[in-house]
Formats: sequence, C-alpha cells, structure tokens
Amino acid sequence: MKLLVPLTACAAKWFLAEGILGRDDILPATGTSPKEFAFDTILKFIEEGMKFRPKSPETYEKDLFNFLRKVMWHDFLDLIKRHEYDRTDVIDAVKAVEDEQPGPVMGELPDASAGDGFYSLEAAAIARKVLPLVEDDPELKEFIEAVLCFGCWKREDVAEILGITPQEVTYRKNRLRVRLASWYRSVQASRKWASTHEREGQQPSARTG
Amino acid sequence: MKEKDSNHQPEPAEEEKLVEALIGPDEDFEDEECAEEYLTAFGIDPTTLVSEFKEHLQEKARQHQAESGSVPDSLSNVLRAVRDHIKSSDPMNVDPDEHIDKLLSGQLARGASAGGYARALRQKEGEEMCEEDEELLDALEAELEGDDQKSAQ
Repeated sequence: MKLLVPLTACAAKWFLAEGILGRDDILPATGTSPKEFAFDTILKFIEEGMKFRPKSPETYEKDLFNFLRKVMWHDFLDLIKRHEYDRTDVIDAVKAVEDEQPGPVMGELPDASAGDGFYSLEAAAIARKVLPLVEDDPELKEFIEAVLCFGCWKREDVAEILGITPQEVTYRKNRLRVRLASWYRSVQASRKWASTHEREGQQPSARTG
Repeated sequence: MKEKDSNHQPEPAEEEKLVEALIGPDEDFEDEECAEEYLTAFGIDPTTLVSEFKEHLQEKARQHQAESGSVPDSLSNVLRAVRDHIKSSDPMNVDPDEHIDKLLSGQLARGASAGGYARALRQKEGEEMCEEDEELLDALEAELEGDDQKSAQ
C-alpha cells in the first residue's frame, strides 16, 4: 500500500511533463489518469506474476518501487505512441513545409536560441511556457533560467551558477514542481469546464436540428 | 534468444531532460511527504488513494466474475489484504485494551511525545484564557518536555 502514493505521484509528474512540453492534448482522449496508471500497474504486477528480484531484503521496497515505476513508464510510453496520430500539429508542420507555408509549430517558437540566450530551441520553448507562471517568484525564475540558459542538468552545477547550496536547489525544484502541478490542475479544470459547456451548448441545437 | 533487459530504458530526449532538471527525478517521490505534497497540488487526495484502489480492485473482481464466473486467487488475496489494511488503519478499529496495554508498556510513548502535549483544558466557546493560565500551562509543558529530553538521554 505504501507504494501507491509514490507511484501515483510519478504518473502525475509524467502528465505534468507532457503538459509542459505541450503534448498533453492527447491525454484526455486516452481516458486515463495518473491514479489509474498506478492502480493498473500494481494490478498487473499481481495478476501477471511478474518476475521481481530485489537486490537485497533491506532494499526491497525501493527496488519494487523502481521496478513498478519502469513497468508503468513503458505503459505510459505505449499509451502516448498509440495516440500519436492525434498530434496533428506536427503532421501539419511537415505538410506546411512541403507546401512552402509557415508551419504552426515553428511559427509558435520565438527566435529564442539567437536572442533570448536560451540553451536551445527546446529550452526556449519550455521557458516560454514556464517562466510566465513564476513571474512573482524571483528565486524560481532564477532557477529556471539557470537550467534553461546554461543547459544544466545537475543540481550542483545549478547551485554553482546561482551561488546557492545544492540543498537550496532541491528546495526550489520541489517548490517549482508543486507550483506547476497547481497550474496543470487549473488548466485541466478549465479544459473540462470548457468541454462540458461546449457539449451543453451543442445539445439543444442537436435536438432542434 | 536473447533475454529482454527489463532495466534498459531509452535515452530521454533533450527536452525531457530539461523538464526533469526543472521538476526533479521520479526518485524524489521516495520521500513520502514530497509525494503527498505534490499529489495534493495536482488535485489528488493522497489520503483516499488506498480506498480508491480498493474500489478499483472490486471493479476488476466484478469484471472477472461477469466474464469467467470466478475471481482469480491473486486478486481476491490482494483485495483481502487491502481491506485488512484499511480496517487496521482506522483508529475506530483499535482494540481499547490493547491500546492501553501498549500505552502502559511505553510502546506508544514515543509517538505521544512526538505529537506534543494535549492541554486538558476545555473552555466555553468564545471565552479567552487569561494570561496567567496561559503562562502556567506553558511552564508545565516546558517542564514535561524537559523531563522527556532527560529520559531520552
């Protein structure tokens, strides 16, 4: 039972990551939620009798968490791949290039790598999404910029750039994660609200038409 | 045939690495508090996960029952374990005699002191405690905490 919370949190983090990368539009269509991912993974482990061997009895729980996390991750990737055809923006972009028209994906991206000083185009795209959400928090803004301008993956490197301790980097990372989770939650709630009202708006006309 | 390596994971793309650098690795959730805080912000109540998991299992059991007329042993065993877990974690199901025995034998002493001292004082609604009483209670609490620290050393 102890693994339910960390596994669900992992799945919820992957949903958030898809949201940050702007690829979460397919997730509602799959009809799954982070909770269901965690539940189904544990159920799969129980029902299919998966082979699991812990490194040692002392690390049993940690090893099982890592094992189930990997199983769940593969299922998550499968789900995304199965619904990949829904990513019409990418398909349109290719088509647009062929037709010598400006592609919506490239058109959405600012000229970031040249002017804004971000590490890469990918970093610039993430910054465009995330930075406006932390406008009121200079510490988080500074942390995001350190990661996305310098392409720092390691917390020690970020700590050195910002002149803070690695522990403080972890605090900021945790704070950012919680903040982005709230943002993701509100985005999903507004999408749900919009789709419900859209359906409600369509119903009378469907009846009359 | 070569056995599939279950630990092999493809190298994440750069954008995924950047996102991970911002929001941290999955391993962060080995810390229960961290996982709970994140889930709450995400809109998932971590305290109801076990009971929701039980409902999920029950639904699966019903499906098995409808499709094949029986529920696999593995599933019914887990369902039973989950029910037992829920039952044992409910404070209303604690056996009072056993609880008192544990209290007297000191098995629950650590948990009690970690939670602080409950002031056995009930006021009437809207009535504020006078400063003198507040000081007395503060002094008593400090004294009790001091005793605890001495006994711990």
